[in-house]
Amino acid sequence: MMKNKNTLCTLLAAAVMLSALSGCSAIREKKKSELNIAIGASPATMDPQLVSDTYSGRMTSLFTCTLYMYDENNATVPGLAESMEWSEDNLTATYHLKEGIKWSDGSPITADDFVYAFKHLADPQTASSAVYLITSCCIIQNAVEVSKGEAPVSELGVSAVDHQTFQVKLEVPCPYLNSLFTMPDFAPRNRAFCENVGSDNYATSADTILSSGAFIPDLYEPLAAQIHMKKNPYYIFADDSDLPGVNIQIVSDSQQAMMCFETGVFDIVSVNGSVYELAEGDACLHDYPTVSTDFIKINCKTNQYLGNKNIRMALSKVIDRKSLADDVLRTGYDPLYAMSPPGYFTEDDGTDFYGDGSRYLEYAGFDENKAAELWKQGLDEIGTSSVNVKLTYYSGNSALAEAIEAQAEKALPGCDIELDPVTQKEYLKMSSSGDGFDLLIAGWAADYGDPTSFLNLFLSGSGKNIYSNDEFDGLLDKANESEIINTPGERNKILHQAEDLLMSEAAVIPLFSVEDSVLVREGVTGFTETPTSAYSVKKLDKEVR
Amino acid sequence: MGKYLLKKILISIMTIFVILLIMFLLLQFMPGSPFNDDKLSPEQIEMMRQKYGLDQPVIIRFFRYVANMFKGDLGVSYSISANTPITTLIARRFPVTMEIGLVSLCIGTFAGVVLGLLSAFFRSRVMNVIYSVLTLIGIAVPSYLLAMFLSYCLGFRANLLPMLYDVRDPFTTSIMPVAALSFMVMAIIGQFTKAEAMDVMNSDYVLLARCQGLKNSTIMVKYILRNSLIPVITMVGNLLVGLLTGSLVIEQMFSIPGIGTLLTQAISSNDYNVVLGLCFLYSGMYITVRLVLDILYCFADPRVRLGGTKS
Repeated sequence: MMKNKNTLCTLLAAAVMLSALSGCSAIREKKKSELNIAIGASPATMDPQLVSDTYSGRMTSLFTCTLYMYDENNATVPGLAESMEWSEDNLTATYHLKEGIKWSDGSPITADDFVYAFKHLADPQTASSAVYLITSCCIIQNAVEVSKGEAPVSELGVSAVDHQTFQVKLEVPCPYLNSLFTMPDFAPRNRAFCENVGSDNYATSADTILSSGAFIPDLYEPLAAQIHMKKNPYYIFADDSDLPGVNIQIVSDSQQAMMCFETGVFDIVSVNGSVYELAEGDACLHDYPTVSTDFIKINCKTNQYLGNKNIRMALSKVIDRKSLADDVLRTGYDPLYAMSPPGYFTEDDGTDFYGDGSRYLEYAGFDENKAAELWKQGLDEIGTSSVNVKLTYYSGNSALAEAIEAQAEKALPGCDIELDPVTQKEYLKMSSSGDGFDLLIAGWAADYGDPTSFLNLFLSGSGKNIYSNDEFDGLLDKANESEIINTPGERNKILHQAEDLLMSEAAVIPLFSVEDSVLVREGVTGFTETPTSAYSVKKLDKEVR
Repeated sequence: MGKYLLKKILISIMTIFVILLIMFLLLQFMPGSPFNDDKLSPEQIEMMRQKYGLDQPVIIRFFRYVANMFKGDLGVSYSISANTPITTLIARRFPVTMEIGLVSLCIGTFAGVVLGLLSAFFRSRVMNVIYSVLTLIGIAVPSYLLAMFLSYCLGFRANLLPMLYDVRDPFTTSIMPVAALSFMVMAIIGQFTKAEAMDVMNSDYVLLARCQGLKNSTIMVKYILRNSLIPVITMVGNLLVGLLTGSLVIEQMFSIPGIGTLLTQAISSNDYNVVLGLCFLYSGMYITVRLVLDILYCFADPRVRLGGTKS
């Protein structure tokens, strides 16, 4: 009897182990055919209208499709929209939607879904941190008043002319609107579905998400460590890819993510930071330019010496950006000599707005002798022999700050740089208020494909800085005039004039343009990162080996 | 006895409230706000503060928080998972942390007891070396270093075990984190068991049992094991709380969706409600364990029971 009992127990245990192992092998087989991606942090939200961080942007880009989208060359091309047209005064944009576009439940995507989405974004009840996209990046009619609760949501300047025609009215012309509308915050929102699940509950679990994009989330919970999405057969570009699904795992330990890539667990892994060296030289390593820059903000109000143009320019020219990028930061940074980074903004003839980078070398290019000369002139003008300046930075940037301090103090006699490391929260507070620092190592990521995405930071009263120049403000205002927008080449000419002014005044010290380094396994095709660091998924595919 | 227990329970409840109040006040001194985004204008930040009631004075917010807490509402997340109820976040993550913590505790305790008893019973040189090496590593090497070592050897080099936790395959993907966590438990319990077992073995009643000619195995199980395990049990509660609160780095390394990672994310983002909810949970757990231990002492030691009744 006892023997039988033991045998039974052994058999049961073996059965449990076998079923567990067979379950594991089924998961492994499924993972092989799907795309496996590691990302560094959980998305803060999966609700497209609340997206304001990179990781949420990446995740929502997998299951949303917008009016316009980026192609593999980072050009804006129609997504759900068939075409768009501007009114004569450039204040009304009319979008014609494609025929047969559908939600993942098979119901049609209509113009009303866009109206509902835009109104949800503007609604003060939503309290979306992405509302600045319609109150500042572009100004939709009444968006400022609606977002403050001073006007009803129904007053927002968006409307559905018919099922397939969506109209947006603006207060100021916005020539880069299509580029802005690639953001997931402008993805459609299904009114009936949201009302059914409750608007606050939307996208809080896999079954409260309706997809308009390439995939449908079927495993997701807030702050989950894993997200799984399956192919959306109703996606407008579903025929472009055979990929059955994507597995996303949140791996905050970059070394662990890297080891997992090496053992074949992941197909796509970001390798920025300390693990870059391990991946250097790997054939799978790709650098994707982002529209992010690092620069030094200058506060002339707190430090009298920084009010002198020669002092500012000397500080800009004394920094050897190349050696900092190569020897200190080592990964993902390229020297930058203008405010608008290369590779994203184009002239009307298709060439890069940034050019070859030589445009502002006179003001920002590394030249110790010239820097010392300017420094001496500046000191003479002020009537002092030494200058003390506080350099504030997020403590994670200490290597960079110390190197800048060393370069400046070595080449500029009488220069005393006081290092002031702060926490990330303090840094963000200073960066947004423009207060509490002399020099601040700051960063900025663009939201749309236009140089104004960076130049607007220097508008008087933008709240982000302490620079104020009427001529600069006038040029940016002029760049948005209808007549200028409609004259080919004219707008970029004015934007160049504005940037010339900024750089010749040494109002800012540009440092680096930022790249995202990613390991992409051989056999994965169609993977690109958009300039705003979201995933471009239209042609994403994987060859199963 | 009843009065003693009532006093202990009341002190525990008061302690939790004091902790919450201190946390509430401390969070106000943290730099920044939950809406740390340099793209937001001051008006937008103010609107968001109003939406979540953060524009109210601290004391009003504290009493409102406590009143809602009694209704089982710990508020919603402001930033790390916008608008998700804290109870939902904790309810989904706590079982994962608990499961891994409990399994590590059980395996570590079992291994520690076996190690402690064997080294107490078989005092050979080889056994001593094994015991010393294992307990030294378990106590001196932090669990995250051990986790890195296991991950590199068994996951990366040998490709035997998965390096990341998978909710669809929790069994095999938990092996490495459990091994890393249970090693420390094994070392502590092993040392404690050995010391207790040696004491018991040198006691008069074991000597008497030996003189009576009882078998070694009988003495081991009925006398030494049973008597040396009683003090060990009191350690297990504290170790469990330590495992639940201290497995943070392990959770991050193996990508385990537990409450440790939730706490670090919440602190770095100033997500007050999540921090408060987790502090409530952690302090509640710790105080409950202490209370249970006090009650157990109360049964075990008559002096505690009588304390304060006669003066």
